[in-house]
Amino acid sequence: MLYCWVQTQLFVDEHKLPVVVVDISSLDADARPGALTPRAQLEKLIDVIVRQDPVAIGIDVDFSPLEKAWTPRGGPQFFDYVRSLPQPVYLGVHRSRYGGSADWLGVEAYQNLAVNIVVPADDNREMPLWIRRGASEPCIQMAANLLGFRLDTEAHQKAARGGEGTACLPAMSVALAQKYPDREAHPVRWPSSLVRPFHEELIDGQNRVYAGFFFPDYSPARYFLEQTSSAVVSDSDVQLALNPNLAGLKGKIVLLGNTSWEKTPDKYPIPPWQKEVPGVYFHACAVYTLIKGPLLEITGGARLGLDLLLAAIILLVVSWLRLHYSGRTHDEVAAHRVHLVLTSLVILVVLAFGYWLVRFTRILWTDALLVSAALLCHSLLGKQAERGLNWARVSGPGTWRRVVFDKRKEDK
Amino acid sequence: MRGKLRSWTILFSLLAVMFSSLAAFAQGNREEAEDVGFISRVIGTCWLQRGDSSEQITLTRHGGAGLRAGDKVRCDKDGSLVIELRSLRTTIEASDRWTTIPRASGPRSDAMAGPVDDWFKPAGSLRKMPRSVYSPPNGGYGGAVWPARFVIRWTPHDGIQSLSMKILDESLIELWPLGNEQGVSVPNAPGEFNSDDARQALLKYRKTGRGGPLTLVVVDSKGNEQDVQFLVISEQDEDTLKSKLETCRDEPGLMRYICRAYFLRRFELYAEAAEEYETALHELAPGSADLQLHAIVAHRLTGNYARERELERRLPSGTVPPQ
Repeated sequence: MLYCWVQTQLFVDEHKLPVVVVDISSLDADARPGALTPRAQLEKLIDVIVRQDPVAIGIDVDFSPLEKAWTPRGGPQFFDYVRSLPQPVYLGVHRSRYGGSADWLGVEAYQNLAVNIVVPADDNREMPLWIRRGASEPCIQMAANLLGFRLDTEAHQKAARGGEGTACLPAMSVALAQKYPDREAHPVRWPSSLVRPFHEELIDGQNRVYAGFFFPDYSPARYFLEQTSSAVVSDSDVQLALNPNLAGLKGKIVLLGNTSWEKTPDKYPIPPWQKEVPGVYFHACAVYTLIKGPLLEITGGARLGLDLLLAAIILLVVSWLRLHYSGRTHDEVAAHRVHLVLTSLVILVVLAFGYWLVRFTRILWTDALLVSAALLCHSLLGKQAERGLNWARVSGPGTWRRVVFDKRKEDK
Repeated sequence: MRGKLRSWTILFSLLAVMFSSLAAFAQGNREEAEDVGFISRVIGTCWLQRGDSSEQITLTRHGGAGLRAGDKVRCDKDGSLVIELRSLRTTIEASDRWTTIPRASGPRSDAMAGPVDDWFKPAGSLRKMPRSVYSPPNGGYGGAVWPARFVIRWTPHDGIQSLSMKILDESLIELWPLGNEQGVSVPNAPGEFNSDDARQALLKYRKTGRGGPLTLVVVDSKGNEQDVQFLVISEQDEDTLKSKLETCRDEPGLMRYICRAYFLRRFELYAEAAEEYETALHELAPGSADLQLHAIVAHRLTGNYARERELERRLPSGTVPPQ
């Protein structure tokens, strides 16, 4: 919920989106008698798109080889065609994503075309940056270049050095964003102990497979949906029906994917409204995020420190007030009232600070609302707890005596 | 004296380094020229470009022909080409562009892994003294028969009118024909004897749970005798083989025959394997040197040296069959 709230605070200029989604649900995935082959259809569509001079093209289709052969769309003929184009084209890999670089598209020679197209089904707040086997390099270096952070910790530098034998499969968003010339520079100036633009998880302990994740900005998703173009297939030709909101594809990143809600099983609830949309829109948001600047996550230690700091500020101010007025006035300081007022003030500051962080620094402090609620609870509960203690102090001994003793001993 | 010795040592070291570099270079070149796949089906007009020369691909001539990393292929309108790479199968569709054959990254992992891998390694085999019978297999180290498909085949020699045949079990007791010690007399000229009685005898024998070795005794009209020892595949093996052959059924073009021959050979049914290559040569690719090479090896395993020599004569000049 907090994450979704944070997502609504991000600004999007819908007229200048760097990414365009093209629906390819009308293209055949398997050969049909009398029609163009699936590979020929895709090539014709790409020819049309390439003529409009996009920056790069990504195809959100699994080109991983099957057990015996390449898919009807894939294979050396298509991969050679893609490599011959003036614009870079990246091909999705799903089935073989945990394999070595030769497994991704069946042959080592095509490894540079392969990108990971998995959308994490269990946690839609994050999108992958890479999947790797072996040492972290070149994954860490790639992330450092793209996300604008320095390898400032010894662990990062050590990982970046030991890159021998690494298979690093970049995500679709990473490969495409790297090709965008006007990527906004968002150098991460904060120390990595406070904020981090990504984190890495071990996803297959047996094969030592790791995946890097980051938080995408999903705020442009609805604009991508509104501005989706489509491929139109006839028996011998494929054309592009450009969305009327778009002037062309020049300078854009084009993502081809199945956006037909009924036809694709690849759909997930997208933040902030958790409405199910096809996976290609997740990739579009991820590319957008990496172009506009990453969302930074506050580390666990920094979050704890911030929470403790806020609590300490309130406590110190109340204590200072008590001390300050103790010898100067006969009136008792209304500690609870002061506490409540201060807490309310801090809550306002926390909310404003959380909003400011997301909006202007792209730092995700999802704890802002949580901390506010905790402070409020603490303030109210504290008052009740003190009342309870006072009551126990006054009536406790009498109650105890009544429980333990029968009657007073007679004087002998 | 010591200085001279040091000079020699340095010279030898340099020579050693040079030779190992040359060896490595040669190895690199060999790998470059190594086949990474072969053509299994051709429809319409397709082209192969190797180096500066290009030629039309026909299944008749190029069926099973090896492709090297860096070769280029393409097909004209309505043409298509199926290529079995060491790692995967791919289809080349009609296009103006050439497709470069990539270097395979690893072996295949599907049911065709064995047949494809085996196609790249036509190995030689032991050559016995020339005999006339080649089914049951009589070359190499012997072989097995499939009772339901048992046929006796031989190379007819001039001057022989007839042959008498009988099959003995491992205790040299007559299995077929029963009650006829002289054996069945058959004319020499056809080179083939197809006996339902013999098949029934083998099936009956197999039901006892035994697998041989059995002996086919053949005596020609001049009194020359030759014995052929062979095994009978068990019912269990036969079931396994049938399921393996079933996987070959939908394979495209030449791959179907390559697949069948491979699995038949795995069960030592060399005569049947050679037949598969012969069928492929006859029906699909009579001019394919690669297919001829595999057929040559298969015939050598059956002991059909006459057919082996005939195929060797048809090979393009410079093509040497494995020994």
